[in-house]
Amino acid sequence: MKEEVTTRRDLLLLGIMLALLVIANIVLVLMGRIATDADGFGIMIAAGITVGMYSFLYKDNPLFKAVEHLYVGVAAGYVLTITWYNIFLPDVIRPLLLPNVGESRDFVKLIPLALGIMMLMRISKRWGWISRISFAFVMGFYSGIAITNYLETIIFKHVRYSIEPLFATGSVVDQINAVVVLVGVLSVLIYFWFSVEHKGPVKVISRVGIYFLMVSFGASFGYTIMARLSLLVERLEFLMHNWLGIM
Amino acid sequence: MQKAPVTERLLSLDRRWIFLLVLIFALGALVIEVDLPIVASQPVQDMYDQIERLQKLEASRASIPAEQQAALRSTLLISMDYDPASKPELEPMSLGIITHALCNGVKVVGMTLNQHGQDLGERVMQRAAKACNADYGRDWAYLGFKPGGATLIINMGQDFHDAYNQDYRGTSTKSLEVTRNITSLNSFGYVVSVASSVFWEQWVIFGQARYNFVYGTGVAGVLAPDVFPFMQTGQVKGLLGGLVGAAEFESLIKRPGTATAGMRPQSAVHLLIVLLVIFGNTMYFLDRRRKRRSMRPGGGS
Repeated sequence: MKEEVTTRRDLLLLGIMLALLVIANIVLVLMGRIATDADGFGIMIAAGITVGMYSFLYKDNPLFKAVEHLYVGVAAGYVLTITWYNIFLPDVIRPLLLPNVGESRDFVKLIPLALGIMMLMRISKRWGWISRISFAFVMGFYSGIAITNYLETIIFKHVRYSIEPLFATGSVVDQINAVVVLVGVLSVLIYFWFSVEHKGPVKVISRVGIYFLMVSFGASFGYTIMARLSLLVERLEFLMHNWLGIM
Repeated sequence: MQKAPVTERLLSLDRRWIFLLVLIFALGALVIEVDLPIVASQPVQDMYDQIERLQKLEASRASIPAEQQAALRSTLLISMDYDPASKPELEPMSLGIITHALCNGVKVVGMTLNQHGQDLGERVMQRAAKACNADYGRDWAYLGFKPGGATLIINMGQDFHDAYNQDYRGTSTKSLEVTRNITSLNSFGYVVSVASSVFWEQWVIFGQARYNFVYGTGVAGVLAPDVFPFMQTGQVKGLLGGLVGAAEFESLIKRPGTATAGMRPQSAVHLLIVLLVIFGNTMYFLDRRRKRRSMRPGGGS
């Protein structure tokens, strides 16, 4: 019974919100703050979608669902267009079927095209095994180019620069910083070293590692809040400036 | 029926009240204009200095023999690897970097590894070019999106014109003045990736490490802590982290924009969150003490 009452209240709030949006847009148009051209219409739609998206903060509701599906649809449509104009047309269709004057057809493009088609075989139960050939090619190729680069760029270089500053001539602050970095790296590595039981000195060092991890999580948390707030602030600026025209 | 203690009720407060508080603080800070000091941090200063270096190189072009000008390495490559979801944070960075470069005579080539970012990138370049009266083809060019990510970066390093034989408008990159003499990624004086995902790292792993160019990045706030170790190793020279990085860069180039305007609500809501964290922890410890007391013999219900 309580569930039904809540749903009714939610629908009522939703109706009120939609009515307010419509009334606000009519008033803004009558006041001349929003033009009755394509740009003005776009602003009204964007404002409605923004409010619809943020309505999720109150509760999941039909308006949020509608704008969510709209977003997914628009994104899929956009990707399809980009894929056609930026990939298929210049890299497949033109080289194979519509070469420039004086150029011959580039039949090498048939190889990636075949691999791509083979990958799509995954949707068939009978022919799905064919897709494994393409996946094997992609995995082998990417492993080949990635493993050495990752090792060199992320592991070796970072290990080197965790130790090297200790022996470099620099200010006292630089030296302290180098020690802190080294202690942090070693203690965090020991914290994640699960082959030995964490007791005695290992426990103490891994405890230090936890503190370094906490500082790292704190920094990430602060930056994450900033990132999410940036989105809110930009939307608020849009609503206040572009839509309501009060800023 | 007995009411729950205040601490318990506050700890189980409906989170929608917190959302409402955030909204009030953000809106209030947007409306009330208070100028906050924005001081550039060292990573932001590094990026600024790199663009200044390109400007000095470009200024010396006239005094260099024509045959040596191709090896000047004074062009900026900016890869705008973000989508609309990260636009509020990253567009001010792209706009600031490109505007500062173009208005100081540095040639700029733009591109994107993110398929959702093609039109965003072009829009930013158009705005910056308009602000600086820069000519397409001579001062700047936009290459658009190409798929591949890591493989595209490697391909650009091996043969730039093979990777991008034409620009976003379909013009041959060999015919554009700004890209004519570019042969590899190494031909660029500074490469910047403004990214909302792992693309910034791909530029280091598959680009900077292999072709040894000077590289800087502007990333969404959530990614910024991951970049700092790469600055220590010298693989990244210049970092703009989140909206605050963009605001610091805007203050350096003396062109306050949306990032600078966004710092007021940022500061206000960050203050609110600090207060909420202190408040939440205080309530937690008070509630724990109350529960411990009530569990003692004769401690009440």
